[in-house]
Amino acid sequence: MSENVFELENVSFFYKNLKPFPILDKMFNRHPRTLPTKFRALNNMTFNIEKGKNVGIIGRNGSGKTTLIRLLAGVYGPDEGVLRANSNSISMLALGVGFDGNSTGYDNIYLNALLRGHKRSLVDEKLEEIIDFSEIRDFIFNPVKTYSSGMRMRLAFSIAIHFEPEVLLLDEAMAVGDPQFQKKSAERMNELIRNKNRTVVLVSHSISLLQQECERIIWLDSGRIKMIGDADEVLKIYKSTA
Amino acid sequence: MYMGYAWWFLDPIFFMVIYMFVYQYVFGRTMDDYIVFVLIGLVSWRWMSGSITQCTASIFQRLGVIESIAAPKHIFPLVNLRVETMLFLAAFTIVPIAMVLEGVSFTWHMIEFIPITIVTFIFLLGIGLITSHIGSFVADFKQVLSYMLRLVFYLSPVFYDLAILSPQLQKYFWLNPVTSILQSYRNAFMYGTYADYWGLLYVLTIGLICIPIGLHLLKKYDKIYAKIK
Repeated sequence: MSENVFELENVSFFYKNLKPFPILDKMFNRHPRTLPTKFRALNNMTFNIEKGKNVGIIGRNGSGKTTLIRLLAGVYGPDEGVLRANSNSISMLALGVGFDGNSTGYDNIYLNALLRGHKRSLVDEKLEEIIDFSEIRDFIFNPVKTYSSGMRMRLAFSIAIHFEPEVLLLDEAMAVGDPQFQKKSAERMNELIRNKNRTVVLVSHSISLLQQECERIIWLDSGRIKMIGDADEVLKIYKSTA
Repeated sequence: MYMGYAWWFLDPIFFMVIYMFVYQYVFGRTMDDYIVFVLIGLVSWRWMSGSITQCTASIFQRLGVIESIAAPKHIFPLVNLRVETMLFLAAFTIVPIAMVLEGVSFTWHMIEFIPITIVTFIFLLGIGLITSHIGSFVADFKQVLSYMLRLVFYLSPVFYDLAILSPQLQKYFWLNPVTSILQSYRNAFMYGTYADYWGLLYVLTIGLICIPIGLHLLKKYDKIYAKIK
């Protein structure tokens, strides 16, 4: 019997509109915020993700893919239902990576890795490799806010892949940097993804990528699971509706 | 012009000059060794107000980080408080320098700096954990906090001595934890006597009550902070 890394039972998730000062907003802002007070981003989801499997998440913009992956990462918690995560080595890589703009790239490597629960000695060990791989050695002691988006992404990518988590959550972060860097990162990524012990959850719009890397696909549509199952099957139907 | 940490030394010196003027010419009072008195007050106050302000911002200013890493949230106020504390320890060296210049003699009571600082740290941690929670949920709390801190500043003997107040009024000032902290530092450095340990016990109690409350709040709302936009 295979064990599950994630078990979701009737999970729902809301975004609440938390306004700072509604009275002033209404008085002075000609376009006051009119978001619905409660927005249901994920609705009643039940599924499991087995250990060692690669699972793809597909769906249109705003269908809840990023919310779901953040929920799996433990950044968010479910508002209804139960989510069990049976691993303490979960790492998420997303485009809006967790950097502190005012700190240097060097400090951010430590910040990022330590917050993910890695030991300082391990970071010391991997530091040189991370800097080399990200190709930003000349800028490593500059604040991250001065980096281009490509540099940030390369650094984030480099940090994420060097610590080899048990569970890797990827939010459209496959194509990073120029073609040269993409080739290098794709090779490393393939090693990571193809490892039989590693569970990977991959959010992407690229059907070919998902077809290549994933065994199962979860298709989201406005916060609900539209279809879940074997990759070829789901992608065939997804393609035909697109 | 960027002088970074140098401001930690320059800031109390500039304010010292201002408050010397206020105390002498506006209040029309004089005091022996006023420079040492006011430097202890200003450096300690800057630590306390700076810590609370930094703790308040500690979680929401790191939205980018907490959106992608599921880290326990009490780390953030703790980190900011530690930074402020290191800066305070560096800046406090100005006090013995001023004591030499003013001819205030050193006594063994100066080692009481250690317990006073530990108690104050615990107090600031308790308050900071709670304000980091409030600051994340209430966008305008930062503004309100700056008024509250200014009020506490004037209600604390930072640049004036409690002796200028009537005895009835003085009683109420001891309810303010800052009073005991400042008094303790001054006892240890200026007056060569024991710190105000009853006062410090009061300060410690507040801290030890606030820390579990703050930790509880930060744990309870752990997954909510990333949602606040």
